[in-house]
Amino acid sequence: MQLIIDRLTKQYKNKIAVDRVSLTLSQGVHGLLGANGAGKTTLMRMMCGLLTPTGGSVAYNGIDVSREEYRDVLGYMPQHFGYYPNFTAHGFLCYLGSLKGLSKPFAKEKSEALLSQLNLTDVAKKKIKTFSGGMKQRLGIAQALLNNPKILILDEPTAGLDPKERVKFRSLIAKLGSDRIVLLSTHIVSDVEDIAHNVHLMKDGQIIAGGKVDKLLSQGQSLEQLYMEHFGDSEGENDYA
Amino acid sequence: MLTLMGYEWKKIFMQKRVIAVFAVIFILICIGQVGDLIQPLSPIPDAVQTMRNNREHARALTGRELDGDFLYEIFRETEGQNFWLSPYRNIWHIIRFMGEVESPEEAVAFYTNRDNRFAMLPEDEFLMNRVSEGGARWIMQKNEQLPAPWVFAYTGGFDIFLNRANTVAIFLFFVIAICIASLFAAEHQTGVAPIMLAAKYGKSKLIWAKIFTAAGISLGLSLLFTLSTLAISLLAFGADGGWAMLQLRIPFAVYSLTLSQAAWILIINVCLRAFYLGALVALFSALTRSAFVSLILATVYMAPATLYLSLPFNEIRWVFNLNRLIIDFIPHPTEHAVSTFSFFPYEIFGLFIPPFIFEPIFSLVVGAGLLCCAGWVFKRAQVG
Amino acid sequence: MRDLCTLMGYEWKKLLLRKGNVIVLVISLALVCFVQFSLLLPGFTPHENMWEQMREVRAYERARAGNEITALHEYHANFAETLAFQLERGRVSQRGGDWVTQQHEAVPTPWIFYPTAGFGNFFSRSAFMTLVIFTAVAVSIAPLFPNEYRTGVAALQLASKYGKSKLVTAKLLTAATFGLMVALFLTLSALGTSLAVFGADGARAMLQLYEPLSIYNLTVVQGAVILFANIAARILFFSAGVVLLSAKLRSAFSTIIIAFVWIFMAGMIFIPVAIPWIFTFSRLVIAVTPDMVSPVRSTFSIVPYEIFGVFVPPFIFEGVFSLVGGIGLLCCAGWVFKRAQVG
Repeated sequence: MQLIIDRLTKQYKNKIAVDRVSLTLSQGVHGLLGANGAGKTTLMRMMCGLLTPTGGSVAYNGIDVSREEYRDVLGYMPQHFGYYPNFTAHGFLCYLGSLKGLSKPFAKEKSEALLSQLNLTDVAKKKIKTFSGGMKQRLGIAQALLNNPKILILDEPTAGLDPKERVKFRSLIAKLGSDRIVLLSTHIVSDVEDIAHNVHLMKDGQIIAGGKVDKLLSQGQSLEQLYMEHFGDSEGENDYA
Repeated sequence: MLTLMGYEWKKIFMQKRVIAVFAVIFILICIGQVGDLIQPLSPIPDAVQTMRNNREHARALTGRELDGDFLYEIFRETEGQNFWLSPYRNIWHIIRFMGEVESPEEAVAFYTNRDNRFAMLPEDEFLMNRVSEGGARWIMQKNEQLPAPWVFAYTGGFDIFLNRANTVAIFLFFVIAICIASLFAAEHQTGVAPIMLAAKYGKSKLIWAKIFTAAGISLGLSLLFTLSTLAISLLAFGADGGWAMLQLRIPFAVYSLTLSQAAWILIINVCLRAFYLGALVALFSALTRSAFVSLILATVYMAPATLYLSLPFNEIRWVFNLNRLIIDFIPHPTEHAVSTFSFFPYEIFGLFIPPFIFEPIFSLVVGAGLLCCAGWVFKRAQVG
Repeated sequence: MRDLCTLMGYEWKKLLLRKGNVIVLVISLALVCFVQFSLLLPGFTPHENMWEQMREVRAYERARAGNEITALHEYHANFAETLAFQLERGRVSQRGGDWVTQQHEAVPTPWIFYPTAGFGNFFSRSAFMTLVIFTAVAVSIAPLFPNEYRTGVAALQLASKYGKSKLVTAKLLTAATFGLMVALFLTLSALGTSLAVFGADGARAMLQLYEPLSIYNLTVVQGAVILFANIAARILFFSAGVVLLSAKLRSAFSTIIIAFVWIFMAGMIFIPVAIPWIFTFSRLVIAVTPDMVSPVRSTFSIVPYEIFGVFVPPFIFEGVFSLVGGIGLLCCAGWVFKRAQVG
């Protein structure tokens, strides 16, 4: 089980959003850390086939990102999760289930199970437009897990979740990472520190540092310190006062 | 895929505004078919009774040949008569073309005068810009095949349907544009597009589901609108006269068709034009990613026809034909089905094809192409 | 007041910064100007040398400027027939008929001929011009309120100091002034183009030279000004209606659907009426839509409005009706936005 990103590049008119990124992701949870505008979302979108790379390739076990077989094993939760306001949570998951090739009965069963797992059973039949931000976020995670994906790409999945929900989410992801590839981007360093096996730091479209989390922490440095080392530019710029 | 199509239909018809517009326009269209009979809106005093009297009067004369005597009799009876009150409304174009006559001999000259118009076609520089010499001969041949004299019939229901078909079509096209404008655009606007396009069927079956949904909505709504209005017209005014010749309604048509055949041909034409328009709106929706802009573009496309605008250099044949296929495709509200049965054929590699055959085929082929383009655009959408 | 003007400035900026709006306005300007002389161009008319013919006709007419037209018996006959028709249909009461006859008799005779091709051409194209103005305004104004909700800025606005007071006034005044400015700009452009191409002669000519059945003692220039004023009043009413819809529906798409129904469909619903109050009602409906048949004929129609025994020419009544109605709708739109529930 390997997701190989080979010299992936995305160039807009006069800006290189992702610059020859090469990664090999295997089973486990991989964290992607970076400041705003580092290129994390662009990288993830190329990994989901939503953006055509200017150069490079993405393949899972030899299957290119453009193929249906790749999308069959993909689960994606975008940064700004979109939904149909007048659909119910259950209805929306069933709809996405059919998009993911699940049979109706299986999609229904899986939707109910996921809604239960994410504490959304009580609101399953309510319209999504009535949901709070956290509930919408959990629904977004639920839809990503519908097809039991081998590749799970989560773009800022904990945004909008309260601390209690974040803890639950972390244990869910840790469990999921045991038998699939999970790539998780976030600003919240502690999310990555607790659950990720590997972490990759991204800046200006490039992967500037990374490695096994255990190894990094055994060197006596916390992830936050590592983050500040690479993204805190100079003294005084870290204060608003 | 049927499941995905079901969801697409649900997404469109779940929108309250779509239901509201559809309901209002459908009701208006249906009422419009019998608007003449509704007091106090009707210009005809005691409209229903007047209609019944006229119908009985016309039915009693059904089957009579429109020879000189009968034509002169009609002329005398309708002289100074209000169009709305006349039992001969369905042949009003014949009466107008006949003009002022003072004897049955002058009246019967209607046929000769009409035939002369076709015979003089090769000498009419303006008209000959629109058709080749071969085409002019084809038109004259078609005209010669028509029986003479014509036979009068009461054709109330069919006449009303053909009269109003273009107006129904314009309203129908507007409803279709509203339904389909959000087909692709809504996915981008709601933010669901990234999730969709990353899903297994997001770039395959989903695209086909959307394409078939657009086709289904266009054809389904147009069948609903046209069949309903035909049914209402026939029920309200009578289903007589389907066997009568098309020329009673459109004197300058050269096709040997009955009114019921013409009605069905018109229905097919409207349905396929609707399909073409639906495909165009779907393409706008995929390209612009905005239902708002798609609807504006669709309305701008439909506007020239309602304003009787046409392409410049319309006297050049290929421009004339292009105009028929692009601009006149949206029917003029007051043309009363004339363009569908226009005597100008399309000339394709030496073959002369009547518009009511060529145009539906064109709509189907181009519409299918446009739908595939729309699907392709959505599939290749760059999200980010 | 300064704050209000500042807020209005920002609203105007938002309108004009939208590329789509600029494109629509540019295309509208090009269309209304082009259509003034398109029929003189080869390809747009089956006749040849239209430009030359136009010049010849203009020279011929100029040579005859100032001549009296005395053979008016057909004019009087047409007037009598038209009045009889309206009376028969019950659209004018007997007293109204007398009033109309009085107006008709007050039109000075004999008529004096002047070439009026420039103004006449402008009048002939006014239906299309009105349609373009309405469409441009609808497309530009429909997103006025919905964009605030769509971008999420509405919450910030409504929570701010002026969010429920001056801001609302600024938006409404912007919508109204934008519509009026577009109407003014396009009308002046159209008129200017027509006068430049066909000649600016005949400003003093009587309106009857263009519209023989008019019963009002007006010159062609006065007619053009009144026509513009009517269009402006209609646009004000229309802009207010669109803004109300956009505030209520919070969706530019839904708003534009209704706006297009208003623009295009209202004129296609033909109500051949036999009952006076329905006829009056249908006239008022048309008075706030782009008249796609003949704005000049309906603006200067011989059928007056009868209000409590007073006879008011349509160009006065409809203008006032549109103005008052427009202000009312603007107030409603403001009230709807102020009371919007965001959440």
